[in-house]
Amino acid sequence: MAMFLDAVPFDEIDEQKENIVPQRRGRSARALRQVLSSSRTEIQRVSDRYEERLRQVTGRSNGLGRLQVYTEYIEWLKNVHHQGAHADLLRVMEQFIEECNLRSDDTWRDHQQCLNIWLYYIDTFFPGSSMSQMQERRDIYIYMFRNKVARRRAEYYVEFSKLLFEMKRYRECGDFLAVGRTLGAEPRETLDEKIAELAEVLAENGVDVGRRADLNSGSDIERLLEKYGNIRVLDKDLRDVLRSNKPVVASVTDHGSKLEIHADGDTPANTRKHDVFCDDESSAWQSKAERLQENRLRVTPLVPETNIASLKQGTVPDDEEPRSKKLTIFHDDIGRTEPVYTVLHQDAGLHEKLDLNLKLLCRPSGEFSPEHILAVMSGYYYPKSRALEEPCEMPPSKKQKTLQSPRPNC
Amino acid sequence: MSFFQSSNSSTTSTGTSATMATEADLGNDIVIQNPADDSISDIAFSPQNDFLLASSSWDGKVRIWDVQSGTAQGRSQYEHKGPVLTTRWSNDGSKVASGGCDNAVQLFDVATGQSNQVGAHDSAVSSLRFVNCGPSNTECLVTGSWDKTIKYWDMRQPNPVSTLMMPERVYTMDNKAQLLVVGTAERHIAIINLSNPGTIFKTAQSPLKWQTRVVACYNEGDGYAIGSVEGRCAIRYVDDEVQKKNGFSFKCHRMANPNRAPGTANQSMVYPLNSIAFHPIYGTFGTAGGDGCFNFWDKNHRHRLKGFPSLRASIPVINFNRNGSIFAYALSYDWHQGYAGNTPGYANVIRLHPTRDDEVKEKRKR
Repeated sequence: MAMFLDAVPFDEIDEQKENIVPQRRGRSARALRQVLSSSRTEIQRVSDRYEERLRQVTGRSNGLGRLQVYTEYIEWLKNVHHQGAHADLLRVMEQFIEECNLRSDDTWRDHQQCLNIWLYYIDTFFPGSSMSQMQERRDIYIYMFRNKVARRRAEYYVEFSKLLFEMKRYRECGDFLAVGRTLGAEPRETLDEKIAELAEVLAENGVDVGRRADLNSGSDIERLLEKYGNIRVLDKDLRDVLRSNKPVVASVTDHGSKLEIHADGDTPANTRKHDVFCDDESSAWQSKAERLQENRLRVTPLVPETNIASLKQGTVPDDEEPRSKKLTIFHDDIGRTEPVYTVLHQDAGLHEKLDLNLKLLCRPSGEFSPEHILAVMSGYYYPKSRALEEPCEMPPSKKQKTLQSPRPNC
Repeated sequence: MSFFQSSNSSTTSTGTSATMATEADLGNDIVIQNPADDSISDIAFSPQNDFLLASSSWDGKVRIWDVQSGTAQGRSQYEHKGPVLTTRWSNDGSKVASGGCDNAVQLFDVATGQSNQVGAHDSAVSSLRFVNCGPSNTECLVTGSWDKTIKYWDMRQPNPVSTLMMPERVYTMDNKAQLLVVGTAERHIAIINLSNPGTIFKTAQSPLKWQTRVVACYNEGDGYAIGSVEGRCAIRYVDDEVQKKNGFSFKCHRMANPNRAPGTANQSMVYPLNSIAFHPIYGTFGTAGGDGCFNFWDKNHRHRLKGFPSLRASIPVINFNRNGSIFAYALSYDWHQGYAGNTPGYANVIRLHPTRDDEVKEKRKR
């Protein structure tokens, strides 16, 4: 009877059902009803309480208590922000992920609650079915594997294989399932079922992924993971990025430099193998904003009357000579700064505009008929005794063999 | 005259005509579209045939056209090694001579279709005429060149019969009867009496202020007209007394500037006078210029007989046929504006205008 009394009346959340994003594992109707009926101040009070609990459990030897607080806090936030991704939710989840990465023990990493939070993080903040979005999700799964998050959880391999199958990376999908089984991920049956299911689907669709790699030893797994473990940074393979960062090794012909003697085991940095499957100690989890700030073009709608950048202003050097000549205002189609015609002034004050290039025909060296000018300019005639002292109208390289280009009918 | 709708002797119905013609008056013109691949340099009619004409052009070719049927038909063509600047028919109409920028003088036999070089200059041949010279009136070819000479050729031997030094480069030349007038650079005019072709009879300076473009002799052989680049024409006589009495010059080929700014003085647009041709029967003459207009003038009465509207392209050359019934004119760019005026769409045609008496015949004073 008590069970019936505790039942959540659906009418109270019915109005909001359109706004509630479904979750992988469903939602608690009771928690949802409680959140929906709470005021903003009340929600803030609850949030402050969770923050206070996190501060209190800091430093405790038993890390699982803190994991429990995070789990409850995130579950509560999921219901508060039932409409999906929210900045508060993102902040808390990334805080958890960062802390998870910094912890030296594996108690968090292999915990089911930790995996749940990661999966929710992937589902909520990296949705989408485009190849680039799926690639982004794959990078996170790879990051999890490199940092040994949920390595022994079969669910991790199953979810990852679903993604790889969706990306049509069938061989990689099968290999990762096999890695999970080799590493002893639990429950083993789940992995076996998934492997069998994959083989069946591939066989039904006639997909041949070739011979599966042998995963009998740790080195086999490492080799395989190195093959798949590469991620892309700024649209380049991580391997290439690491290679390009490799310090320049002094040439063997550089006899002038001192030979450095170092103790065994003290491996110089430049001789260390770049392992794309092992993060450096310094590499910490980057928040979503940091991860994407350089990998994506920032699309910002233009807003009127908004200054998005300042233009660099050039300065005129002080020693530049002032312009002494007047600017020419005449310009014809071919860039001449002087007109072709000539204005003749008559005695009576009348002007005659002579439609003739007198400067062309009457030169200091003498007068030339239009035919004479044209013949010289066309390259048909080379005056012997009287050279045209001034440059021709057209450069010699532009000799035109015909006076006019093809003409239309008149 | 079968192909012309109006005859040479027709007059306007009213007996009077306006001084200015309209484009409708050019409606009966025969148009030879694209007669050459380049600008036309000269046009000459056969002295023995009303409908046979030769045209020379800057594409290095001389073409002979027959317009007897009312449409132009090409009869022959021959080539120079450079632009052809001048062409003329022999008096018997059997040969066509031409000269050009290849310094060569070519003679084309119309009957055989063969051309051969009959002479050469040290520079481009700018003008030539068939003349009867000497006491025996022997027909010979006289050529003027930018090498500052004129040469007489009897067309049978490679060397000229005579060479006459000119004061400057020969730009233009014309003859009628025993008169040969040569216009050179620097506005020199050389007058030669063909009875004594080896000497210059008289030299003079052009009365016009600017460069000489063309000279043309009167039918009577007693004088000549000079055209200059600044739209002026001078009527000159060889005899000084007659010159004093009848010589004059006048403005032509100019129009009021339509783009005159308000408040500024009136301004004339002036165009070069490119060609002058005398009517072989009436003695009137036509002028054509860079404004795309041609006019007919009566020098004796000192007035314009007819003016024609601008055809919006420069007219480099005009000529009459042997009886003056056909007036040929070319529309081509003549380079007077230099490179700036050479636009791809510039016209290049030869038009044949059937003349009417009211256009070319002098009007007697009543």
